[in-house]
Amino acid sequence: MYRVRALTTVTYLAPMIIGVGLISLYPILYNIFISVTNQNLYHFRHYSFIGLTNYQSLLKTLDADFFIVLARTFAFVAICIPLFLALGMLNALALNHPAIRFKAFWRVALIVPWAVPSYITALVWKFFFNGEFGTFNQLYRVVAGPQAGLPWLSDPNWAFGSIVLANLWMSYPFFMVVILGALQSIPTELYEAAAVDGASAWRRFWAITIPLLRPALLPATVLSAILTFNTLNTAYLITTGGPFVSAAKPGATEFVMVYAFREAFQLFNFGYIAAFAVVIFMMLFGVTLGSLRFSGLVREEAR
Amino acid sequence: MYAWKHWSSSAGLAAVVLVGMLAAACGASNQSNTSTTVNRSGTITIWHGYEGTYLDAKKAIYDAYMKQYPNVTINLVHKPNLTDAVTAAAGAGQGPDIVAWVDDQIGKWVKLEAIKPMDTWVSKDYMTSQYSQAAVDAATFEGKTYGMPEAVEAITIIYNKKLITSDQIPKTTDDLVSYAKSYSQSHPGAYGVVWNPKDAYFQAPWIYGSGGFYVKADGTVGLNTSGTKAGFNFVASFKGAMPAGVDYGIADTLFKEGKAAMIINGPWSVADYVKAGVDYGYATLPVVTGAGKPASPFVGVKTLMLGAYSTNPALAVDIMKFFTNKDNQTNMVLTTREIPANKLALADPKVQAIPDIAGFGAQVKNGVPLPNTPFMSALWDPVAKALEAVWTGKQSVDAALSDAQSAAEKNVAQLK
Repeated sequence: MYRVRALTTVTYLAPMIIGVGLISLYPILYNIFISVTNQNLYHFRHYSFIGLTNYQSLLKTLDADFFIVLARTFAFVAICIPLFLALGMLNALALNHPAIRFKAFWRVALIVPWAVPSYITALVWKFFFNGEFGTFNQLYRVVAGPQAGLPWLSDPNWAFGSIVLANLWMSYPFFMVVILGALQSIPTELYEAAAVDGASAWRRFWAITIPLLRPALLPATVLSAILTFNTLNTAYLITTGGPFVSAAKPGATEFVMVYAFREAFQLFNFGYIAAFAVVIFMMLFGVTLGSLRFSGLVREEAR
Repeated sequence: MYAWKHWSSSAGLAAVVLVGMLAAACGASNQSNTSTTVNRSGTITIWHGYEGTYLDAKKAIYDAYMKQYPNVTINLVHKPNLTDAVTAAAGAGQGPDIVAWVDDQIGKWVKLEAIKPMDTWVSKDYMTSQYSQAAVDAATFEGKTYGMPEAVEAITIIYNKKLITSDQIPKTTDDLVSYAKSYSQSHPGAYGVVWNPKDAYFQAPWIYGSGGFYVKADGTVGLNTSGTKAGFNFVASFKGAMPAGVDYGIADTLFKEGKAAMIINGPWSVADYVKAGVDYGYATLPVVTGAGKPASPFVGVKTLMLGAYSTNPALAVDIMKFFTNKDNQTNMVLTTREIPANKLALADPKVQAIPDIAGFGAQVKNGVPLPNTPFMSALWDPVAKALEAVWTGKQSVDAALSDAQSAAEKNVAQLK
């Protein structure tokens, strides 16, 4: 048996510990630290400890507005993720099919939406959606007559749908790549054996493909759900959170991060926004843990 | 962090010692150059947002300074997100020697300790002797000077000479509304005048011209005043005379494509109109009918500000003086076509002969300084939302402004 000295262990682990510490742990701890200080416009360099005051004022301002924003953000995630999965799966299955030629070309072409910087994509979609001059309404007018137009960004529900659409276009390639990778790691012998046993293509998909994809899909879904929850760019650049019906009410696409950006970042209330971030972090952490446990149970039962 | 600071300060000390030795070595042959107390040696870093032809014309001045004083190095650093970068650096106790940006950030950056006063190195008399009063005011916050003004900018009417002649340009706001309405009726798909009607900056001419205001230096919010309401009503009266979904980009495109006779826009847009082949002219914004006063746009002042962590402020201020002096500004604006804040340069006949400068210069006279109070950052958002609610017909002007007033007051309270 080998005997490993503690020093050796620590030396080997050090690069990773330092990396994790600097990249993940330090910012989180720093954020928690700022959340209990009064750092703001007037106490930027010389701030002091004020305990839980920020959390108290946060609870006070957590009014109906905030809960509308929160509910809308969860709805956004709940609508986006199944669409990402479905479209990603469809494309991955198509790309993985032996009849498809020029695979390398299609793979690159389909990944492009994900690789383009999101602010450029957002601005392009903003133009597509424009009521008078946008591509979609110009096409629509060919069918529906010169005066017609769909309220892509001017109606609250349509605007919500438009942001889902733009976000779908930007995000599904991620799932496509993950699923494609996982698909290619499934041994073809399994399908051959199942086919010999008389399983239909439909049955092979549900009995082989889906169960073997799950280990790859689960972390990708959780990661993507968190990213979608934290959407700022897409919504802010296309609608700035609007359409707005009043200066006193959140807009129809004002998701949590857009709301936070408006409420606190423009006003330099760093302590307050740090407290806000801690609360959001705990919320997402809880939801993530919950969903992981839930899906774990589902898997246990399936066996 | 501490170690780094320690290291850099000792390196700085070494550099000072070295320069001192060099200066001593050269001293014998350079006795005559003692008229000033500025030690013209060292490195000055400038953060800026200059681009294209602007950058070349400005760089030339800094190059001339370095040529004249070979011991000085000026680092021009382009920052794509300059305001964020300055804020972030200030949080870490760092930053450049000079920040070149617009005056509306001054109040905020003073509070964040990102810039510092320079009254030690430049007198109020010097400022007023060199720059227009509006520009001096813009660089002053709570009685102290924080920068030297470079160029001023404001929005004005730019018109397409093929679509409208100078004598047809409406002289009052009432005429502007009726002109726009009749133009879009007689020219389907084209517009008499376009601008971005959903942004606080672009509506300032009507609101301030009507006697209204956004926010004062003491934090008083003026959205529910009768003047602000009058301004909002004026903007709302263009519904139907401008495309419903109009924003900055659409207004800009319509004008470039010859589908708008007039646009209200600023000096930054002109180069694109030249490129698009538009034969354009300038006219001042009309007189506000109810108030009898000319519409007053915000006058933004591009300013060289002194960074709070500059280790060589005397040299930084000397460079600012050089950059903004009459000769350098005259040469610069012949290329950039900006309106110089240096009034001696503005008065130069060569400068006055440039139509762009004469056009915008006439408009600047009617303007109000872009507020440099940090409270202004509490206003942009509520005003924009209220404008959108009014423009899309979701709220009446009164209801929209009453909501915006309370939202802005809530924001201002957070900044106090």
